[in-house]
Amino acid sequence: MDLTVKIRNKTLPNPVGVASGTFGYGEEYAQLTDLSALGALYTKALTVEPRPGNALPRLVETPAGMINSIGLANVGVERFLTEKIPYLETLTCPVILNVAGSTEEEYASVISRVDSQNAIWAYEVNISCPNVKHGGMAFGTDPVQVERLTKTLRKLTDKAIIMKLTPNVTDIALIAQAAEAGGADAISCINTVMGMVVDINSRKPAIPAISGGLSGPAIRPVGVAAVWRVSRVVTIPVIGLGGILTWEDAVQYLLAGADAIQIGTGNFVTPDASVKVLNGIISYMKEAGFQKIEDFHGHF
Amino acid sequence: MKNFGSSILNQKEIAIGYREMTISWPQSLEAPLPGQFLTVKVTENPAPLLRRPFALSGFDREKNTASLIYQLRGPATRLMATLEINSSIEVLSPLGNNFTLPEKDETPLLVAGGIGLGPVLYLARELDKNGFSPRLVVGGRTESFLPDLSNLKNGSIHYCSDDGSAGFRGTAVDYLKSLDWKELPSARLYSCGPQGMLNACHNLALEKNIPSEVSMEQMMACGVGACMGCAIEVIGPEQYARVCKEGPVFDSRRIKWT
Ligand SMILES: Cc1cc2nc3c(=O)[nH]c(=O)nc-3n(C[C@H](O)[C@H](O)[C@H](O)COP(=O)(O)OP(=O)(O)OC[C@H]3O[C@@H](n4cnc5c(N)ncnc54)[C@H](O)[C@@H]3O)c2cc1C
Ligand SMILES: Cc1cc2nc3c(=O)[nH]c(=O)nc-3n(C[C@H](O)[C@H](O)[C@H](O)COP(=O)(O)O)c2cc1C
Ligand code: FES
Repeated sequence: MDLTVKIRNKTLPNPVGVASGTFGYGEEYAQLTDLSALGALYTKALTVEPRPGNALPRLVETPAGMINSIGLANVGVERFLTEKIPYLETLTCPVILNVAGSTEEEYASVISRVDSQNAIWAYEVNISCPNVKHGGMAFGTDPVQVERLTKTLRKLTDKAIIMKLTPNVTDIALIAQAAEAGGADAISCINTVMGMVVDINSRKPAIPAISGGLSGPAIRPVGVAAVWRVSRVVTIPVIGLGGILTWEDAVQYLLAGADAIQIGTGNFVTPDASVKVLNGIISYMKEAGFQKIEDFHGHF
Repeated sequence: MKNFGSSILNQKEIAIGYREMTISWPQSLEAPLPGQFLTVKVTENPAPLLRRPFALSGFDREKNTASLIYQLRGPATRLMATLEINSSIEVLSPLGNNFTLPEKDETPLLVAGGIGLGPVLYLARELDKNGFSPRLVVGGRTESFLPDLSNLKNGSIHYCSDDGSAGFRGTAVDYLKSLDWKELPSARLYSCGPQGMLNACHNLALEKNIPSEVSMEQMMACGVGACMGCAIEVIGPEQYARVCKEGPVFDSRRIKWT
């Protein structure tokens, strides 16, 4: 059985990754799950300058989901290179750096400054964060800007560029096509869905940022539909995420057209969800007689 | 730190709206220290989704059991209350940091309110075992709960209630203020409970110029330092600290009180 997934000129060992912002830099989960079994580890978003993050509180639970307003809290490029890279270098799984910025120059600057690091397997470009004013979602909702940004970044590196899309758009397929036209090597979808909770006792929003990013099982059908729409219109691999807790959830994504998947909020609930999901996918493939990931595709 | 399947060995109501649960602890896993916490996955269903954090209220290495005291609040704790003895739950622990031990000549003053009782009880028992004479002050809504501290050799417990119906009339901090501080040349304050109480403890510590630790709370998602969700504001080079990683126990002088 071949579980590998080809992206640009390299292959991921298996289709199960852990999503940006939910798994730190791996170290936090090292005692709880086998990091060497990960198909890919997507790091927390990295910006040029350190970001302390948004006002408090940053989390609220919702029916079968949660809203976060972390605000891309991260240590910035300089400290990333000295504090995070040494640990990432010890990992055997592919490490995909999630990159964020508020201008094209900022995205470019992150990539230029870290590109010589062998520990970085590829970039996932976050043009979809709903939690900062200029946190990329402004890019991610405009196909013209998406194509231009992708083109700019494409020139800076030989590593794969994965564009991570927001579902908060009228037609995600258009954005995916723009990313492919700009030279993207893969598409990740989806980032969180914009959501809001009002506290009826205080008569105020539950989080000071008013709205935040909804994740977890509540958004799974939104993610599956996005993967279906996107995989119809692009030829590059599609990495599906949103609400995956179990292998059954992951198989839905693969059948809808995903080549790989990521687990985000699911890690909070089950720290070794990635291992369990991968084992479930393997069993399902055995039973179905699937030899490779493409065998999931084309059933409808 | 480990995520493990645990058996519920006992659970009972200890005061109106409060329950104590005793669970099994893997023999191979390190003992949790006073102040540390666990997270519980209360259901296999997608709601309530997030694991819930609870401080340890006791630990027994010989029997390999741990306990927690929880207040019935919402969906997760209501579900926990229905779990039968011998049923299993998924527990991730030990998480976070712990209270630091006092200096040899210091009198530990422990203040607990509401859901803060668990970790403070555990600390009181450990300090007593280590030859200290902890003075435990329990305030507020838990006046109907009288924890069994009969096996404490040196410790003492003082109850406070706003209406004077149980013990001292006033808050736990009022009680501390009423003490003869000349008798307490060096004291160290530990507190866990509602934010207002922690803030009052901090102010008292400043006034008396004594060290003080507080156990903080914040909404958590991962519980292991990965998501940055549980941040609180602190004083120092970094604006925020994670309650699940740098905490839950903080030097009260590090907290940015609002
Ligand atoms: C470090 C720490 C230690 C704690 N120790 C204890 C303890 O010893 N005993 C005890 O009774 N309670 C403790 N709590 C609080 C406990 O986690 C909540 O009471 C519990 O999560 C309530 O869940 P619920 O579904 O019953 O109620 P809900 O209605 O869902 O929530 C009620 C309140 O509980 C808190 N809460 C809910 N979900 C979370 C979460 N995922 N993370 C953090 N807080 C949450 C929020 O303040 C919320 O407003 C602790 C919290 C923290 C952060
Ligand atoms: C706490 C938290 C932090 C996140 N941080 C990032 C981030 O830094 N960059 C990013 O591209 N996505 C981030 N995300 C989005 C996730 O990677 C993922 O796209 C989204 O949560 C949907 O997947 P899920 O339902 O499996 O969590 C974050 C999500 C959560 C819950
Ligand atoms: S709960 Fe995730 S960092 Fe603390």
